[in-house]
Amino acid sequence: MVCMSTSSGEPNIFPGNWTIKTQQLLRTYEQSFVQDWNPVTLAWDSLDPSGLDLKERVAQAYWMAKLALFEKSGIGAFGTAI
Amino acid sequence: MSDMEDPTKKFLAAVTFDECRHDEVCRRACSKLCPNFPYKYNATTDFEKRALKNILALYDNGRRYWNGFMKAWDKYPLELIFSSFFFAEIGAQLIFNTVSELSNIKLYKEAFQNVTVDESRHLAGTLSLLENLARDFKEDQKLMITRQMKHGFIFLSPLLYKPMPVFWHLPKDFDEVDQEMEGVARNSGLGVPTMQEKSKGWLKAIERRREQVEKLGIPIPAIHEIDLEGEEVDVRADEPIATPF
Repeated sequence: MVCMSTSSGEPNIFPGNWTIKTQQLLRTYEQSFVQDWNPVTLAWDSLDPSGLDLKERVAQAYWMAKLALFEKSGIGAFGTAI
Repeated sequence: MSDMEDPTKKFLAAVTFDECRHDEVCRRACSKLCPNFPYKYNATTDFEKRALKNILALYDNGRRYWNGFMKAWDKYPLELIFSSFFFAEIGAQLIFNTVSELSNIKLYKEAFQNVTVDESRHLAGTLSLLENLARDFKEDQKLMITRQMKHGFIFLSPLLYKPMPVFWHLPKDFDEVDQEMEGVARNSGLGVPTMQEKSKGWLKAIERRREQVEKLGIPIPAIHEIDLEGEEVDVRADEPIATPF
């Protein structure tokens, strides 16, 4: 495909391509549709804060907040890539 | 953004969506357990204050990662930056699978089973990217991938091991508080693995992939903290870390 240059000298890659060189990568991408899930409809009722004391609630929230830092790094990094 | 082949772009977009989904599980869990944790949480007890101080220190220190990532963007090919993602995925798959197995709360079991499936898919995709790269890369470039893998371990260390001081500059009592929090979370049903389980799990997970990676001419880095043998990679203090998760 021919890439035109923008005024800043950066290659203009829009609208991209439909080139498939790596069949395995395409199959992996297709799996994301088959393995779809919804975080909203998980068994949220089973996480009952009234069954936990304050320390237990805080400690669980602590670990989930720690995990979130790394998930957010992924959103930023992969989002920037595309 | 480079002119990547179509499945690469779409794979990376799907990974971004998955990470949003994982972050949403974290957000909803925090909101249900301790509304407003951590950003606007009003800590009153000593336990709450120590938890909040640790998380905010981690978040604040973690900002340096993004600076490094953006600098690396101009310096290295995108595919190289993302090649180390594979190493992070090995660790991620391991910890999420452990949490889903050990947790006795249905929500966590269900959520982390799904997250593990996502991470397994990410691992498969990353290996495809790595195979593509290795085909054209020279020896010194392959060593850069090895270096990136070590970066992945260092960046993820607060979650998957314990914070490596070569990058993470955290309060002196961070580890002590962190282990206390993980202990309470584990015993109350979240299923967080112990330090020994994390260390053994990392080693086992990497050894399982060693042959596949070394066959591509890419050396596995030595990580003495978990008894992993391999190429010695000397990471300088405060070297920019640019590995995605």
